[in-house]
Amino acid sequence: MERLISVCLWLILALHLVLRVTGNAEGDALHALKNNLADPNNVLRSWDPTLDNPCRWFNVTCNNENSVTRVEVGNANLSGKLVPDLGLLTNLQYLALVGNNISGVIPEELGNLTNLVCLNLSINALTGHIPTTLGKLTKLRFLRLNNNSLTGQIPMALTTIVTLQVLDLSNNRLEGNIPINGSFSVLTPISFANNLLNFPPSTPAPTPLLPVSPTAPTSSGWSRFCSYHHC
Amino acid sequence: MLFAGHVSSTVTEDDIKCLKGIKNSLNDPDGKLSNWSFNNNSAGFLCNLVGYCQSLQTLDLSANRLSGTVPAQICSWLPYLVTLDLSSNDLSGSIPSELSNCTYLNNLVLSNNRLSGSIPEQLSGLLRLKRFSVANNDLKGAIPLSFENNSKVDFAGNSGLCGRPLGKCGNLSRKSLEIIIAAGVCGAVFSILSGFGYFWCCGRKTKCYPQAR
Repeated sequence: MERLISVCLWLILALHLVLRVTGNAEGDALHALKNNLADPNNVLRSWDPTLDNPCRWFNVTCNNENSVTRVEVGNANLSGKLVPDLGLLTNLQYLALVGNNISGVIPEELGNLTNLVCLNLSINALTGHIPTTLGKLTKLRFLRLNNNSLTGQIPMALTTIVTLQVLDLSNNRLEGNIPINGSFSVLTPISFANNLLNFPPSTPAPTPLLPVSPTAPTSSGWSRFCSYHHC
Repeated sequence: MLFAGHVSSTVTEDDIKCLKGIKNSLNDPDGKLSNWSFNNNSAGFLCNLVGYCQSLQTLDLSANRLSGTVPAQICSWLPYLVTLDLSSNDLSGSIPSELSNCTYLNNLVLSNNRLSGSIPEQLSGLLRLKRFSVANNDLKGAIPLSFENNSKVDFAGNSGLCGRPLGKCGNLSRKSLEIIIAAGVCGAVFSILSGFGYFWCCGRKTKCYPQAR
C-alpha cells in the first residue's frame, strides 16, 4: 500500500515537471522574441520567463489549457528582429505586431502556425520576401503585411488559402505579377497598391490618395475606434 | 505619418459625397438610410460601413424595400466592388450595362425585384463573376451566351427570358402553346361531333326528310 502511494506521488511529481517544461516552451519562445527586440518603453516588462507559463504576461492571451492564442503588441516602439521560435506557438490564432520598427525578415517558421487566423505585421521595417510557407496557414483570414519594405514576388501558395478574406500588401517593394486565381479572385488593386507589381493593362489605377489601413496610427479618432480588436 | 493624417481627412470627404450619391439614387420608404446624416461631424458612423467608400468591396442592400433604378454610375463610385447584392427590393428599370465596369465583381445578386428590359451583353465581360442571379424579375430577351452553363434557378421567374440555360428563344411561350393545343383539341372535338351529328341526323334520310316518303 505504501509502495502504491509513493509510486503515485512520484508520478504526480513527474507529470508536474513535464507540464512545467511544456508550459515553458511557449514562454521561452516569446522570451526569445523579447531578447531579440529593443524595447525602450519597457512595454514587455511583464514578460517574466520565471513564471510557469506566459499566460499572465501583458499582451499575451492563452486558452483554457494555458497555451498561447494571441500575441498583440502594437505601436510600442519596438525594434529589432522576429525570431523563428515564434513558429512553436502552435495554438496561436492572432499575431499582431503593428506599427513598430521591427526589421529583418518574416521567419518562414511562421508557416507552422496552422491555427493562425490573423497575421498583422503591418507598418514596420520588414525586408526580404514573403515566405512561401505562409501558404500552409489554411485557416488564415487576415494577412496584413502592408507598409514594410518587402521585396520579391507574391507567393502563388497564398492563392490556395480558401479562408482568406483580407489581404493587404500595399506599400512595399513587391514585384512580378498579381495572381487573380483561387482566393485572390476577391482581391482588388487596393490590396497591392504602391509596389512595383505588374498591373494588367485594363486595371484602373488605384486612386492616388490611398486609404490608410485602419490599423495605422492616424490623428483621426474614428479610425482608431474601428481598428480596435480587428485584425 | 503627418501626411497620412492629411490624406485620411481628404478621403473621408470624398466618401461622404459617394454615400450621398447612393442614398440620393434610391427611394427609401422605410427610412432605413435615414441615419446616413451628412453633417460635419458624421464621420464616426462611417465606421459601421467598414472604412472608406472608394475602397468599398461589398455592398449588400438586400431585403430593404428600396425602389428606383440601379444607379448606372455605381461602378464609378465603387470601382472595387466584389459583391453587389440588391436582391429582394422593389427596384425597377433595366440592369445598367455600365455594371460591366465593376471588373472585380465576383457576386452580382439582383433577384426578386421588378427589373425589366434584357440582360446586357456587356455583363459577359465580368471575368471574375462566380455568382449571378436575376431570378424573379420582369426581364425578357435572350440570356447572353456566357451564362449558358449557369443554373436555371438564377434566371427563373422571368416570363420573357429565353436561351440557355432556359428554353430556346423563338419557341412559343408556354402560355401560347397551351392556347394552341386547347384550340386544336376543341376544334378536333367539334369536328368529330359535327361529323357524328351529320351522319346520325342526315345519313338516315328517312329521319331527316320524313315528307319524302
